[in-house]
Parts: sequence; C-alpha cells; structure tokens
Amino acid sequence: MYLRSSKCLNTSAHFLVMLWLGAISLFCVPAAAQNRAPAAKPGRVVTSEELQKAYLDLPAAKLPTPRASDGHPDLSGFYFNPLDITVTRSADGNIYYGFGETRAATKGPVPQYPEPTEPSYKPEYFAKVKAIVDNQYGPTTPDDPNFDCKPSGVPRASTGPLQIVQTPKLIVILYESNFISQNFRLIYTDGRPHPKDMETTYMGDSVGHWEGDTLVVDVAGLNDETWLGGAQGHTEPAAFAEPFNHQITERFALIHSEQEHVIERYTRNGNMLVYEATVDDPVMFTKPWVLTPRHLLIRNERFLETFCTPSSTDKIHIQRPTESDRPHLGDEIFHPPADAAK
Amino acid sequence: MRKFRASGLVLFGLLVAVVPLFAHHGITSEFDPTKDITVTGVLTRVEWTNPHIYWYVEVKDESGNVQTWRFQGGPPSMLHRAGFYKSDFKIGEVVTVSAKPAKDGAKLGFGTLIKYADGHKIVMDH
Repeated sequence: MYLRSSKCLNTSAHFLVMLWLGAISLFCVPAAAQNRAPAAKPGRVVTSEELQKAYLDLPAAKLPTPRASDGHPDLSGFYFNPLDITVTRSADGNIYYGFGETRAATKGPVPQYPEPTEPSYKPEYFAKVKAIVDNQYGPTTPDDPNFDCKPSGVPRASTGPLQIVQTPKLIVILYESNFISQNFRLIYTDGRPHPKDMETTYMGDSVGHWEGDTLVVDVAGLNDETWLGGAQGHTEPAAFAEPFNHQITERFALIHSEQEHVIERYTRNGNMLVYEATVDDPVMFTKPWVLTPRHLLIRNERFLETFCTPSSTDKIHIQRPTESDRPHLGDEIFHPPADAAK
Repeated sequence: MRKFRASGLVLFGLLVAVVPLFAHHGITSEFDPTKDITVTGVLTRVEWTNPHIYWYVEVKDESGNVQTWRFQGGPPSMLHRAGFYKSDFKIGEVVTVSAKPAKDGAKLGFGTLIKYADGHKIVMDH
C-alpha cells in the first residue's frame, strides 16, 4: 500500500483520470496531480514569462474565483504547497518514510527554473551579506534569525503556508510555519493610514486597499531583526509536468534596515494565490527589489499548530564550515543503514 | 567594487549549486552523513516541535548509568500531512535507533531507523 501525501485519497488510476477531467474539485487532491500543467520542456531553462503563464494555466488557477459580499475577490482559504514526502505502511506494521523519493527516482532532465531575483545592495551592505554567506554551512547558518525562532518578517513570512481570513475592513493572515512558530498579521482595509507613533516590529504595520481584483498592502514599521529571505526554501507548485514541486530560495542572507518598506500584491486566480512584493530599503539597497513571485494553492486542510524553541532549532549544534567541509557542503543524503530492510 | 560583488556571487553560486532543493535546512551542518551510530534503550518522549521533531531514548551504559540520547526527525506539519504521526512513537517501549551522529559529539543524532522490540520498524530515508 502506497500512501501519497494526501491521506484522504485512495490512489487509483480511475480517480486520477476523473481528476484530470475536472470532475472533482481540489478536495483531497495529491499535490503531484493538482499542481501540474501539461507543458513539459525537459532540460531547458524556461523564462520567467513562460513560468508565469504555466502557473496561470494550472487547473487550480482556472477555477472560478470566489467573491466576497462586497464584490472583491474572497482571498479566504488555506494556501500551502507540500513537499515531496511519501509514507508507506506495510501489512506487518513497518513504516517507510521517504523525503524526496519521487525526485530521486526522476529519470532524465526536467525543466530548469529561472534563478530568483536578488536585491542590489550598496557595497558596504553587500560586504555584510557576503560575510554571512562565507560563514554558513551549505544552506544553513545559525546567523539566520529563524534559528532563534524569531518571526520571519515581510515578505519572507508570506512565502510559506498561510491561512487568509477576509472581512470587509480587516484581512488577517495566519502563518503556519515550517520552521518557526505560528504567527499572524492584521491588514487594515478600512482606509486608515499607518500610525504616526509606530514602533518597529517583526511583522510591521499593514494597511491595504483593492486595486481591481488585487489586494495591495503597504507594510512599514519593520524592525531589522529579520531577513528578507534565506536558507529555507519556498515550495512552488510544479508549473510544468515534472513529478515534484519546485523550490525557490533566495541566494542571500538578505539583511535589511528599519527603513524597509514593502508593497505587497495578493491576487487570487481560482484556487491559486499569486504573491508579489516590491521591497525598498533606502539605507541598504541601490534600488527597490522585486521579489520573484510566489504561487500558493488552496488546500482543503486544517491549519496545524506550529511551535519553535531555540533548543528545537539545535542552533548550538550547527557547525561553521572549515575548508575540509567544502566538498561535503549540502550533501544531505541521509539514508538508513544498509541492513534496515532486514 | 563591481569585481568584489561578482566574486561573492560566484562563490555563493558554487555553494548553491551543490545544495539539493529540499526545503529542510542543511542537516550536514549538524550531523555527519558518513557515520552511523546505533543505541538501544527506552523511548521516553517525543517533541512535536518546529523545525524538527525529536525523540528521546534512555540508554543504560555498562556501569548501569542512564544516559539520554536525543534524535532529530523531519518537520512536524510535513510529517503529519504525509501520514506519519506522533503516535507512531510508542513511549515506554524498548527501541534500537540508528542515526547519523552530531558532529560536536553531543548525545544527539539524525534518526534514520527505529526498531521496536516486537520487530516492527520505522525507516526514515532523507
């Protein structure tokens, strides 16, 4: 018996055919089936424009977009793109947990996605970024504020699993994190400005308005104790027909100042949320940074409580790289012992 | 300065190039993938915490002293959605755990296999 990530699906070819015909809603659909658009071009680097088109062609994005009572799109829902994890239970009680099995089993080249965009730092701040990067071990560094379980800030938080609760004058985003503790933001859409006596905080102050069918959010009052991106990858839906979801990770330990100012754009297409953000930091950047857009699909799942403590990040056990480590950096193959099957 | 920036990009590009695209943070920064350890003891606790779950095993050494070993697993929400649950850890039972040891020598490992006394097992392949 082979269980995929969605437990409510009894895997059968018939079910999958039905699914592809659009006869079944996105209820209980495994990520591998839900997230693909039939446009594979193996072995080629796709352009950003092709990628955007492929996302809008996903079956989930073609569904009707629900409307709230005030006529605006209703963004409410739980958005989440799963990773490639399989759990198999045998009749004799054994459990086989596989991380990235489908990926490992993939034969041949798959479409290569464009690299994410990067901020343009002034030289003195680029030097700081480089110093962090030089001292990190593969994708990991205990310098990452997430290792202290600090909130992810903006825009980093909105690249992970999230629940949106929309009312006419207030929109709440509840963040279920894969790394830190759950968190939330309130986005006021009643026309109020940012407060004059604003303290800087991890998640800042958010005021929003609608431009057509897009929610535009102005975020200010952010403290400088978060990164804009970093080691933990964001999982995108598989826009092309490869059998796994795509990961986006900004290259840098993206520091910022308390002058960070973000304009976010949330657009719902069917059951797909497109998240765009432009980040300016007049202290550190030479020009505003346009984040590589993220795409999140609605999943009919419960929000799970997530909690992090500094001891659970194992920060004190994370090693700094030495020259002899260099050949092994990022070698994350952690197989069970060879005799595990006995 | 342009030259400096370019060298930084190249350096980090090389690091990124060898990093698998899996989302969990680099566990080789903490554990040695070239080594395996095995301990046998009583499973006493499981912590269902972000970013990783942990389970604890109390192991008696040759002189009868009890040492507590701590083992790391995957992210709890991902495990749960994949169909792997906290209840799969049978507290109070004797288990034999295989793991990749922590590089700093702590009584800590990245778990790859749990064998229960009744013979059933949990195989964790990352």
